[in-house]
Amino acid sequence: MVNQILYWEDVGEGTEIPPVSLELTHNRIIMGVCATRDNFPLHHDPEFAHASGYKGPAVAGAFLQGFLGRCVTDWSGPTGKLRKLTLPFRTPNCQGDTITASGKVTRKFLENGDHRVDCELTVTNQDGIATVNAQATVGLPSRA
Amino acid sequence: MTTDELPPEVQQYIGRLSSFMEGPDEVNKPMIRHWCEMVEDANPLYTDEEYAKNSEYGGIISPPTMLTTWVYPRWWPPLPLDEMDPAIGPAQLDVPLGDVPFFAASSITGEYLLPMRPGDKIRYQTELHSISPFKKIRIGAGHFVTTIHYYYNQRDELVGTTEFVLFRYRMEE
Repeated sequence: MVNQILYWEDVGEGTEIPPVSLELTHNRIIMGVCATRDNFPLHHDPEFAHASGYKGPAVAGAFLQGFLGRCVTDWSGPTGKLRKLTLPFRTPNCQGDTITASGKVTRKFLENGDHRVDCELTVTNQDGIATVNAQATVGLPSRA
Repeated sequence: MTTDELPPEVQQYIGRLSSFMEGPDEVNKPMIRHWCEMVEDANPLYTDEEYAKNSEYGGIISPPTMLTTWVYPRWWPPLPLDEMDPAIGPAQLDVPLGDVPFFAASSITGEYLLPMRPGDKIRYQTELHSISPFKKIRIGAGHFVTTIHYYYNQRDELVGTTEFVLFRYRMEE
């Protein structure tokens, strides 16, 4: 929906946040290092990744933050504001994986006059494994 | 063991603040566009001049999640040794916690308070926020060490924070 406006009044607990997917090609791994500026070898060096017990280079936390941020505003439209994002590190997301982020609204509330929702966001890979279970707080415009 | 029982040489680290570190580049449109390419983010506030001009912001803004990227140290020329990594700083690794040779990132939480616009100069300061009692979890036994980065713009406005939790541990039988 990208350019549409999602109003706070139009969502409720359980409202689903539609899935978005990305293929972690070698090309995207390189784009990730350049765009995040996180050049720790785990994020791009296959030998380093293998020696660390990973099947291949794993994307950085900043990459996942960007991916989840996109998942949120693809749903909310540009008037939605990501206020907070908690990202626990669990299973690495490696080159060759296809990752899909989706979520749902878990709570609807007002804070200092700001209309907000809390959301659970999950990243799963092509094997159906949940690699990330994140929480987001999003501000939405109100019709009030 | 509670936090109160941490030895004094460990406790003295809690609440310490680093000096300020400034990002190598001001917030800028090319880096914003590279970020959007990376995750295929079509949010028009980030890349559509016309849309952004007519929005509540009056112009392009940075994705909020780029907070850490704006202060990531330059790749070249090499930095002086006392400049730290924005994610895993000596702040967390220097604390004398005994025999805990391994570390693993546990979580990162971003709070996004104000929009960042092209031309903004972002700097940050790190607080060693807390050290957990000794705990045993799946991968080993050790302490969770939490740092908070506070990010400011050139007007000294707090634009956001990131809380980074690192587990420093040893393997257990």
